[in-house]
Amino acid sequence: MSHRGRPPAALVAPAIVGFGFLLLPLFGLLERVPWRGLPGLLGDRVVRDALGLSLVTASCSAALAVIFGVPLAWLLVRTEFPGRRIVRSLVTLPLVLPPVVGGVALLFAFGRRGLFGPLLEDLHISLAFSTTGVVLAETFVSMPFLVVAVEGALSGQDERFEEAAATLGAGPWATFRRVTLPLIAPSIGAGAALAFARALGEFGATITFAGNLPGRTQTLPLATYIALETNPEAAVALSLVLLVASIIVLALLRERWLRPRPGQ
Amino acid sequence: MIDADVLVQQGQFVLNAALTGSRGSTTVILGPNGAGKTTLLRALAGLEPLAGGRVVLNGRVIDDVATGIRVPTSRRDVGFVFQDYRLFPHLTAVDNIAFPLRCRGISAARARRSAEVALEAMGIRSVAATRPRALSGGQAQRVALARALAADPLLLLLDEPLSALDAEARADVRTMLRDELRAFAGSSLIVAHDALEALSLGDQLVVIEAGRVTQTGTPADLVRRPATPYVAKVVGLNFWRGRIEGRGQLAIDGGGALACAAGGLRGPAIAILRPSAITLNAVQPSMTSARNVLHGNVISVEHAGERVRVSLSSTPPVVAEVSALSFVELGIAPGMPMWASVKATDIETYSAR
Repeated sequence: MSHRGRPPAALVAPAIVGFGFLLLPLFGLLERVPWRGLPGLLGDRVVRDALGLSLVTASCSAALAVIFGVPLAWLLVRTEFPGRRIVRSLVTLPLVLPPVVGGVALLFAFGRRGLFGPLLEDLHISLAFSTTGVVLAETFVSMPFLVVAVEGALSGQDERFEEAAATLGAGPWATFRRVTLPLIAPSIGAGAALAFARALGEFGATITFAGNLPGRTQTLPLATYIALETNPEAAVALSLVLLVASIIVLALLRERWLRPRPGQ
Repeated sequence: MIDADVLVQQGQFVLNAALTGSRGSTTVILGPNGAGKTTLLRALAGLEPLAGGRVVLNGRVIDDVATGIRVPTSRRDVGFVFQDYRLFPHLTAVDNIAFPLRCRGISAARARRSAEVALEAMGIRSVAATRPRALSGGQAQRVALARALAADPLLLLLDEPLSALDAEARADVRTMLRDELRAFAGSSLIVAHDALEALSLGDQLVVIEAGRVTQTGTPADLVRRPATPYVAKVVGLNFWRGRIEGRGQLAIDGGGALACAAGGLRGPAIAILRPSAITLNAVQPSMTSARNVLHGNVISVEHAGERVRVSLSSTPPVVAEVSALSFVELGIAPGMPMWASVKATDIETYSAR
């Protein structure tokens, strides 16, 4: 570092302001936490329901993201097909799409009056305003995170080992299962953690597509927002829970990043 | 038995090579960097698509552009030992070797037992539970070979198997490789890194230059009758192409002439000369029985143990080999004018066709 001299103030000053801006709101939150009343607040039925629902739906979303996202990422990286670039852009669209737009889109696709509404009605499946709807909304916004993470791992991992597997008699499926999958497992874990975190915080798409029914579709962020008007202390307690969950995910990701990557 | 004729196109580069190898034979592929040696192996393994040609392995067509046959790599029975080994980093040494057996549906326990036997045979039983990252170069090479052999291939391809090893491990692995290949029932094809590797491992040599086969033969054939300047350089001989125009006079392409032992040979010919048959003088020899005296400046000097190779800018250019003692006594240095005397009977000629 010393050979570069002192870092220029023109860079240091905005950096400190930026860091402060990211950090100060958290102090504001922590300062208002009613530490003594916390057990009581968190023991409240509405809070417990929202917490349980959030954990279940975010876990389901992360699982769905893995089940469908890993094959999607593999196809995008390892195969050539017409329109691959367009598919790739569409897959990552929810990353930048306002979540509420996602919710509206889901409503007009799978809602009762949506494109596939009559079909779903014939099958006696109702998705909108149900817990399943929450999972769908969360998966819609969180799957791209997993796809991007796995895509990165696959393109970084050239085909050397897959070629070697083929020369040893492994067909495409055996190669994927025995070689590719174990090699990208850490990135799948990281992608799943990111997807879980994104799903846990999902608000816009969820409230638009699944509504805000306590016990059925009211997740933690929704409950927090509602509580802010009726019971600010509960809102702070709920925010604290979400903050802790985020920190845990971040810690898991750091753990993964700090470990040496396999094959190196 | 492998019978291949492949055409591969990669942008500007074209590989067009044919080769055959009988069961139990070891063919060494030799050539300068970028000649297409690795591409040839990859084409045979099905890792590189053919633009033309046909590959037949033990009577089974595994590639034929004309009829559209292209057997996928995993069903070719072609083993590949990659230059960088490509051991699976997430598996231990023993599980790497068990991998091809597991792919064939053999139970984990049985696959592991045979893998352990293979490790034992290679003398590296102790590294069974070691991950590739912690293996030495020599150990990794043995595991890679054992793994390729565990798949029970009909054709085994080895891409510069010794190049990633240090000198000590190289001698060791070369011996191991020769024994393993001798015991191997199928054909094997080795891309060689240097001349010693090529001459010591192969029954048959195939020389590839710029995507084409320029010479095939036994190691002795190549040493006795190199067909190109590259082969001559590999076996350490002076090499000239030219025309014999009666009375043992060779007019050399690119200028100059040499008196040589031509026998009855006429027309396009190749002449070779051992560098050690050349005598170097610091002054022009006034009385000599040698019929060729060439004059030029020293271009470069290369030490090889007790011998020193000296390149002269004469017409034609020559490389002479002198002892370290003569080198010091003559005070040879780049730029110094020198005379090279060569006996006509030391220059060997043969037809260029």
